[in-house]
Amino acid sequence: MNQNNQTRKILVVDDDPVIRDMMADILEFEGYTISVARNGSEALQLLRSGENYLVFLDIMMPVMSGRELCALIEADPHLRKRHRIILMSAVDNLEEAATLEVDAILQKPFVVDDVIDILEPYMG
Amino acid sequence: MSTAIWGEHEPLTTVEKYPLPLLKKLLQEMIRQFGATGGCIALYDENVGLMNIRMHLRLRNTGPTLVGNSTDGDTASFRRRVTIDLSNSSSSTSGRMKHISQSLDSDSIVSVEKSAFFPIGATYSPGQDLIGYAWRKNEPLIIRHEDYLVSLQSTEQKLFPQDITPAWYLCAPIQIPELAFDALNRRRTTAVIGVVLLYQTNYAIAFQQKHRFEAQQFSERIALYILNDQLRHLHLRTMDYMQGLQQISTAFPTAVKLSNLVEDVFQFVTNVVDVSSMLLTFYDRDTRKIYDVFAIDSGKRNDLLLEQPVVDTPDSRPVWWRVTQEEKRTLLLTLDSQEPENYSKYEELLKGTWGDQSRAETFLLLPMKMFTRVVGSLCLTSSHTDAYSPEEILILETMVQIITVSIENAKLYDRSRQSLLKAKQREESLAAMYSALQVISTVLHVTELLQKFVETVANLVQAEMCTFFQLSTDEQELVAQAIYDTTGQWRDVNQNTNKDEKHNDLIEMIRLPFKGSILEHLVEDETFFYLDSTMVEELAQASAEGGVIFLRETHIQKMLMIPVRYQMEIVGILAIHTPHSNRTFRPEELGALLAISGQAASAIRNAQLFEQIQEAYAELQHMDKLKDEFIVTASHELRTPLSAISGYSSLLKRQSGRITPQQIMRFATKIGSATQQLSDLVSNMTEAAKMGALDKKLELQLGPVQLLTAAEIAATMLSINIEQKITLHIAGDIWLQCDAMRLRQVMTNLLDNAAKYSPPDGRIIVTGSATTLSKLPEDQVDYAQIAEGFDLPVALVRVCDEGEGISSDDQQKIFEKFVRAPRSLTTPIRGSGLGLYICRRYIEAMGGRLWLEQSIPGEGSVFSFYLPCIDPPIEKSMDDESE
Repeated sequence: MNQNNQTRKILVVDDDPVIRDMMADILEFEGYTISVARNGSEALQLLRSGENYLVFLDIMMPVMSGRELCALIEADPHLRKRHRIILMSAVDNLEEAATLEVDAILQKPFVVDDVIDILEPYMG
Repeated sequence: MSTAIWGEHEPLTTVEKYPLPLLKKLLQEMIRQFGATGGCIALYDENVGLMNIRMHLRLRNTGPTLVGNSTDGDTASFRRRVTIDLSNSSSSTSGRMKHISQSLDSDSIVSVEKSAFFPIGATYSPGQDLIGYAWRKNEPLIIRHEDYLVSLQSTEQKLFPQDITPAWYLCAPIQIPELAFDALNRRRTTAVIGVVLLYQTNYAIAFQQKHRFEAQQFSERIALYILNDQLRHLHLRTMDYMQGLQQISTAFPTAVKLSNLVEDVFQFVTNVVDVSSMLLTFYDRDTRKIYDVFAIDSGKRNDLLLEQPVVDTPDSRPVWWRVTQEEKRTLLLTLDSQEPENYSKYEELLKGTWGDQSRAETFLLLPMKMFTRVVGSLCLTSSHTDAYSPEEILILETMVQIITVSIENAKLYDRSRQSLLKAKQREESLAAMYSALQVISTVLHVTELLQKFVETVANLVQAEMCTFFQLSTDEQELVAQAIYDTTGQWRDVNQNTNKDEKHNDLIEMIRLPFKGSILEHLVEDETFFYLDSTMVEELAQASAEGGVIFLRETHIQKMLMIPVRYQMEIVGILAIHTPHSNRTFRPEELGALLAISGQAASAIRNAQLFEQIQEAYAELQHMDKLKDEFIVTASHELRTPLSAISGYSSLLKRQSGRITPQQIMRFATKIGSATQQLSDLVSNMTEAAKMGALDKKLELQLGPVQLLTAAEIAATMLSINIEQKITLHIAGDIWLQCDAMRLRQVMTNLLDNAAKYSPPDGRIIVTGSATTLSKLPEDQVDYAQIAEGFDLPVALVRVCDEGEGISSDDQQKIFEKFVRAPRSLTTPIRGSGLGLYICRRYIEAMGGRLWLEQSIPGEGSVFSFYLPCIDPPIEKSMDDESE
C-alpha cells in the first residue's frame, strides 16, 4: 500500500450545498472525514497546504470553475503529483470533461456504489 | 405704297388719272395733223359731273399780239397738213410721228397757261359752249367763228374776252370705241369721257367735212390712249394689292399675334382704300363673347384696346350678330342725308368702341368668314361718298378672308400643338408614375418605402410638402411616418430619416387625432378631400404638441388629403400641400395621385408584412439561440436535484441496516426538497412555454393572500438550499387579492435570484408595505388604474440583496424569456433563466407591476413589485358568520 494513499484526505469542491452535504453524508458512513470547498479558488488554497487530497471536483462553479482549477493543477507538476482529481460531470459535459487531465470522471447523477467504486483505488 | 393720310381725303389728281404728257403729245399731233392754230382737251370730271379743260396748246408764235391778225404768215408753214390714215396699223404711228417731228419742231406748240379763251380748269355742263355742245351731241362738228358767237349769244352766255380770235372751230367728243367696251366687258356711266376742240385763225383755211371723220377717229385714239393708261394704272394697283395680300397671308405662318395682325390689317386697308375710322371685332365661339380689339376713330388710334379689348355678348349687339353671323354678308352703306334710313337701321354698328360715325359718308362692314363660320368683322368708314369701289371691296374681302384663314389655321395649329403637348405631358406623367410605382413596389423596407412614396408624390405634382400619416393600431390617431419637404423647415428631419431611429421618433411625434375628428368622417366618405385653414385649426386644437407644430407652422392654406386604403381598410392618409398656397389639383393630377396611393397601399402592406416576417424570423432565431442556452443550463439545473435524489435514495438503501431514524428523516427531507426543486423547475419551464408567442392568458385562482405568510413559505423553502440569511420586514395585516401559488413562485424566484448572485454571507432583506398607487415611482404606475379618480391601495414588496449587481445594459434584458445575467455564460450560475420573465408576467396578470428598482455593481440590487391590496378577509368572514 502506498503511503500516500493512507494519508490521503477527501476534498469535495461544489458550489451547491446540497451536493456537498450529500457527499459528506455518503462518505461519513464509509468512515471518511471530508473537507469541502465552494469553488476552485477555495480548493486551491487547501491543495497548496501540506495535505494530499482525493478531490471530487464540480465543473460549473462561480469565482473559479473546475476547468480553471484543472488547468492550474496541470500547470503545476508538484500539485499534479500530490493530488488525485475525480471530476463530477453531467452526461452533456462528458466530452468536455474528457479533455481535462483528470484521474477519473464520476457521472452525475450517481448512486452511493458509484462513489465507493471510483474512490477505492485511490483510498485503498 | 404711299402712306395714307387720315381724316380729310386727298382726291386723286388729274396727273394720276390722266397722264398729261401723253395728252400733250396727242394734242400736239392733232394740231399739226389738222393744221390748227391751237386746241384744248376737256375731260369728264366725275366729282363734279362736268367737262373740265385739262390742256390747252397753241402754236408758239400765235401770242396775244397776233390776235386779230388772221393773215399771219407763219401759219402758212402749217398748211402742209399731214394726212393720217388712222386705219393704219399702230406700227405706222411711230413712223408718222417721226415724220412730224422731222417736219415740225415740237417745241413750237406750247401750253397756254393763262388764257381767257377756253382756259385750263374751265368746266362745261352738257350743252354749254362748244364743248358742252359737242358732248351732248356726241358727234364732231365744224363751226365758223361768227356762228359760234351767234350760238353763244343765243344761249345768252357770257362772251369771254379773247386773246385770240379764231376763224374756224373743230370740236369732237372723245369716246371709247364700241370694240373696247366689248373687250373690257363692262359699262361705264358715260361713253363720252372728254371733248377735244381745235381752232384755226386763218379764215382761208377752213376745216372741211372730211376732218370731222378724221377728228372722230383721232378722238377715239385719244380715248384708247387714256383707257390704256387707266388700265395700266389699274394693273399696277392690282399688282400692289396682290403683293399686299401675299404679305398678309404670309404674315401668320403658325401663330397669330394680335398686335401684329391688327397692324397688318391696318396697313393693308389704308393702302387700299380711304379710311377715316376702323373697327376690328372678333367673336369667340367657345365663350360666346365679342371682342373689339382695334379701333380708330377719325384717325385717332385707341392703343389701350389691344391690352384690354372691349368685351360684349351677341345679345347686346343684335345688329352686328344678324349681319355677320346670320346674313354673313358684306354691308356697304351710304350715310348721306339722302338715305337717312341707313343710319337709323344700322345705328348700333356706327357707335360704340370706335366713337360716333354718324358724320361719315360711307360705311363698310366685312365679315371675317371661313366657309360658313364668321370669326369677326372689319368695319370701315370714310368721309367721302362712295369711297369704296367694288374692286376695292373685292380686294378687302379677299384680305379679310386670308386673315380669317390665317387665324383659323393658327387656332388649329395651336390646338393641335396643345393636344400634342397634353399628350406629351400625359405620357411624361405616366412614365413618372410608372417609375414611381416601380420604385415603391420594389422597396421592402417600410421607412424607406414611405420616404420614397412621399418624395415621388411631391415630385409628381410639384408640391413642396408631402406627408404620410399611418393609422395607429388602436385607430385613435394618425402618426406621421415620412415627410418630404422642400421648404427646408423639416429638412433636417427628412434627410436622415432612413433607418435613423431618433429622427424617426421625431417624425412620429407628429400625430393628428383620427377617431372622432373631422378626418374620420371625411375618410369614410371621400376618396380625397381638402383641408382648409379652418379645418386645420380645428384639428390643431385637438392635437398634441407635435401635431400642432406641424399644422400651424407649415402654413397650410389648403391641403390635399388622400386616404390610403388597402382592400377597404384604411392604412393611412397622404397629405400634400405647398405652404401659403391655395392650390386645387387638376383632375389628371388627382387621378395620378389616387392611382399611386392605391399602389402604395398594397406596397406598404407588403413591406409591413415583410418587416413583420423579418422581425418574427429574427425573434425566432433569437429564441432558438436562447433555447439552446436554456437547454444547456436547464439540464445542468436538473442534474443537481436529480443527483441529490439519486445519492440520498441509494444511501438509504445501502445503509438501511445501520441508519438511525433521525438520519432517515433528514435524508428524506433532502430528497423531498430536491424533488420540490425539480418540480418547480419543470413547472417554470411549462409556464414559460405556455406564455410563448401565443401569449395565452394565465389561468389565475384569485383569492385573499396574506403577504407575510407567502413570504415566509418562500423563505423557508429556499433556506434549505441557500447559505444567505433572509430577513423579512412585512406587517401581518397586509392582504392581497391574488393567486397564492403564483405569488409564492414569484417570491421564491426573486429570493433565489438574490441568493445566486450574492456572496454566502450576503444578506437578503424583504420588505412589504401598504401604500397607494399614486405614491409609487411615476414610470411604474399604470395610470389606467387610477384614471377613475380612485387611488388604488397597493402593497409594495422590495427584495434587496448585496450581490454583484446588474450592468445597465442588462437591466432591461433580464426580464426577457430565457435570459439571465450574461456572466452566467462564462461563469455558470444555476437557474433556468425563466425566473424574472415569468415573475413579471405573473405580477402583471394579477394587476401589478414588477421592476428593477435599482442595481449598483458590487453593492446589490433591489427588485420591487406591487399588487392590489385588500382589507384583511378574516374579520369579514367573522362578520359573515355572526350574521
